[in-house]
Parts: sequence; structure tokens; C-alpha cells
Amino acid sequence: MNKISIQTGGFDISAEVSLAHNNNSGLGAIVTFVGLVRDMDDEAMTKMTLEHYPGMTEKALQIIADQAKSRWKLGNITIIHRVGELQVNDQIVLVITSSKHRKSSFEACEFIIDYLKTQAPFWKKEHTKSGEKWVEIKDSDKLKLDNWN
Amino acid sequence: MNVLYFASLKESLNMSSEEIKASSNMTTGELKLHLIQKHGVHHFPKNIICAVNHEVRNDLALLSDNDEVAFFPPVTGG
Repeated sequence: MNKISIQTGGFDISAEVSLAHNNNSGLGAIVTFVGLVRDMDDEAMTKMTLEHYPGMTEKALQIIADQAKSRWKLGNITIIHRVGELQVNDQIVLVITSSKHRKSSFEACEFIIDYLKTQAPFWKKEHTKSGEKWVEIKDSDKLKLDNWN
Repeated sequence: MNVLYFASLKESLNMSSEEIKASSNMTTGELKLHLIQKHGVHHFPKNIICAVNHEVRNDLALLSDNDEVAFFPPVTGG
């Protein structure tokens, strides 16, 4: 079973890896990606807020997980994304992929996060002492999708 | 139909949703034009995305009154 969760609270990476593994003795590799709230380059961030589109977000992530499974032979996929108010150094997102050999897990994990960043309806806002600003999509994130087509 | 707004668009319009009466065979592009005429073009930059019933659609999708339509800026999760 894949696990897809949109939540305000944090996540325990070790517990999620165990859950995804599920004692499946056929799996030889598990890859995890953890995205973090990074401080801004020019000014200290006081907090980050994350908004999403309930209903569409879950569907979009399920479609991305299904696409990954159609490209690679994978075990369980986990995608956890936090929303609400976050601080610098907080975990934002967790992607776990698993497979018999490592190559499929590495590739599928990168595929999932590349697609999540450009297809799933989440929006980040950075707050500083001088004000707040919606994060804008980077061209480099859009270009990463070309690698998969 | 219920039209939803998210993120910077929600803030600039100062509303998260509104009820719009769809004329028969209205397309997503025509709905957007209607919203631009109602609220002002500056709220709807070219990169605004439209989703119908949770799927991203282009300007040519046909709408019915029961559809849930959403407009939002490019996404920035992850």
C-alpha cells in the first residue's frame, strides 16, 4: 500500500521507513528524500507557511505515485507533505521508495519529488521581519521534468 | 458553479471562493475572461492555472454548473 499524507505535524523518518518496508523480504533498497525549510540567502526567515488545495493535492500525489510504479518495479511508496506554519530547519516533505535493487528506488524518488514540485498544488510563503512573499516557481524545477520525457 | 482561489490569487481577490452562474457550453477560457472582466486583468497573470474537478485543464474545457473550478498560481511545494 502506498501512503500519501498531507499533515500539519512532523514525521518520524525511521518509523515511516519501517512502515514502507513492511518486512517485505524481496526489497533490497529503500531510498528516502527529506525536504527541509532552508533559511533565505539575503534575509532571515521568521517562518514559512504552506497552503494546499485539499482534495486535488491527494489526487495529484496519487497520480504521481502511480506513474512512478508504472515506470519502475517498486515496493510501497510513501509521500508525506506538511502544510501550515513551519520554521527554518523543519521537515517539509518525505518521499520513500523501495525496490529490489537501488537504481529503481533512486530514480523513482527523484522522479516523484521533481513531479511533486511542479504538479501538486502546494504554495509556500516566506515570512521575514520586513514582510511576506509567495515563493515563485524556479525555471530549473520546470526543466527537470524534461529529464523524464 | 463554485470557483475556488488559492495562494496569491486568493489574497489579491480577497476571497477564497465565489459562486458563478455558468452559461451553457461555457469553456474554462470564457470563465476566465468573465472573471477578468469582473475583477480586473491584474489579478489573472498569464501563468494562472485552472483546474476543473481537481484536474488541470486548458482554456478549452467545457464547464457545467456542478463543476468545481479552481484558479491558482504555479505551484511551489516540495
